[in-house]
Amino acid sequence: MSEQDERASQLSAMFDGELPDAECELVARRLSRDPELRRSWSNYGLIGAVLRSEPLAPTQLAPRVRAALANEPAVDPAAQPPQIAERPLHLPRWAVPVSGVGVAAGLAAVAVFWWAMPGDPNVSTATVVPSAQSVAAPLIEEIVIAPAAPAAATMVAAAPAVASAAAPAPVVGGPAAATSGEPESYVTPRPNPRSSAPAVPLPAQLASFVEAHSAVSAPMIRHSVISATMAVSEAETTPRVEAEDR
Amino acid sequence: MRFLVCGSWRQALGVVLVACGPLLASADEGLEWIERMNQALVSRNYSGTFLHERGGQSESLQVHHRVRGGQISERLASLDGSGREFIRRGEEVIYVLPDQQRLISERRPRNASLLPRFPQLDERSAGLYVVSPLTRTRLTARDVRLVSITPRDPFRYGYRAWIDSRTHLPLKTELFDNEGNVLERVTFTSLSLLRDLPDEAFNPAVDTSAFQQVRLEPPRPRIQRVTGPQVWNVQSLPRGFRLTQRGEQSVPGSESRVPHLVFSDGLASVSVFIGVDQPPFGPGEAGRERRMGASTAYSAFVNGQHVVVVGEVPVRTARLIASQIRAARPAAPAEPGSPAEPSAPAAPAAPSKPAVPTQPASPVEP
Repeated sequence: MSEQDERASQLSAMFDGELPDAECELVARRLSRDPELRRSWSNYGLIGAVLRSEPLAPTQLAPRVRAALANEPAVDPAAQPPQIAERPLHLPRWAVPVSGVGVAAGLAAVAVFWWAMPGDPNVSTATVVPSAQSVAAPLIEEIVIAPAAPAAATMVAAAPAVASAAAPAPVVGGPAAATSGEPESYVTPRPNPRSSAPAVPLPAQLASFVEAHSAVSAPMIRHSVISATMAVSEAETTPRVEAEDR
Repeated sequence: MRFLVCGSWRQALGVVLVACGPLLASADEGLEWIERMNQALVSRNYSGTFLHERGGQSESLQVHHRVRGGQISERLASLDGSGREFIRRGEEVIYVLPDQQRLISERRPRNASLLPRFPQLDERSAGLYVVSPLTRTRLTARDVRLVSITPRDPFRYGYRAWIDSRTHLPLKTELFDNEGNVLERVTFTSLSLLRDLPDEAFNPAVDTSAFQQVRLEPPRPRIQRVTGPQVWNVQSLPRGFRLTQRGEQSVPGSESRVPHLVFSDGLASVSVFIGVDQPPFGPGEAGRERRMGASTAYSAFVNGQHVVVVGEVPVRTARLIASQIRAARPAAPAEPGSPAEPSAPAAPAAPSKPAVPTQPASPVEP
């Protein structure tokens, strides 16, 4: 087991409550000192869980945490212990201490930490932390993808906040041949093999179920899921809505 | 509480937790990048245009996404033909259908009993998917990481994502079945990472004042069910899936919130809504299924309950999960005097059913 693996397993045991006190101290201290180790944990889902969480009982802890982190804290036994909220049933065990961290108030702070993590790749593009009040230069990075112009990816310092409706010509049929990350051949997504299922638009009610589900589905497919709920087919009919059914 | 075995490091942990993520036994880089992408998609502000291909059709859409003060606003608008739009502003969800001169709106209060939480890859996922080594490459002149996740069986889909190295936003994603057939593709043609977006970005592009306004009413406050609360569980599940969340959801056509169970294999997730009063497919349409791109919706009548299953899984998976839904009475009958908390989880104390191979939604307290 490499040293890193060992640390990881220690950390894991700590969150699971299976590490002896003395070792817990040690791990916590090491984490607070070792930005490398901390960073290695920083990109996973906890912050996401916090960002998406319901506001729980706000406490004054968030600013405290922020200040503490900013100062690269050591373990301070005198500090006020976090208030541990009663654990919601749906949260995994490791998430619990966070629920005491005043999620509502801590939200921005968490984002700040995340972006400002040393060595985080975001720092290069967005060192300027998007704190709530800094809206001066709205555009952080613009990616214009135009297959005809390979050098089209540009960094723009300041530009209108909302992209205009004039979109670059979409890549219909296939991306630029120059892209090396492509599969060898380009296969158009095949038609729905379940031809028995008619391609009728979603009833509004079904769209509601899909929307409700999207809160717990993977963000990467969200765009396609939602756009599918809006799709129109040739056999367009009036969607069923409750107002008409009752 | 069991997790608090150590005392004095708690405050340090509180600090550290904010900076650290949860634990993955596997430090696989590919999965790390998937997590980064997911984070970027839900937490950053961006505007973009993408091409959505599925079933031999393609459509251009524009997306705006903003997180401000904990409130998420997003807008997806079709740039082709119909000009349809999906808009979410916090709790308000609006479908704009210019082709029908119609606007459908709905209030979807955030549900305290079911946190928005996307699937988390963990060591279990390793047996279900093959994660290819992360490739660093270029896509339309951008430095990207290509992550490819292939399912090992037909109960789930595979994903390929070209993730921008700097912004972590996916420039392209593909969904494919276990035979490698690409079912869906989302390709961004432009994308801007923004510090902020104005409110106007989340208004419909067209004047909707003359549209027919249809409002889907949220359910009234929970009605005490005569039968008392029931606990829903599953008998068995497709390999790798387990119950990850329980909650309640307000859905149109049902007078009270309905139980909402979430199953996940670490990548795909499946929602099961139980006891829906009004089937979304229409009357007498139990057993109907519909594929909507990456998502499958399936409606069934199981053990006297109308069940609706929605998830980014093949139909067979949705069907299998639906067929396994069972009711289990809680040990103690509900007392008439104790009001059922609408926000309380559907299963306050999951009764132990030894035969059930699934794990409970939450870690069981000692």
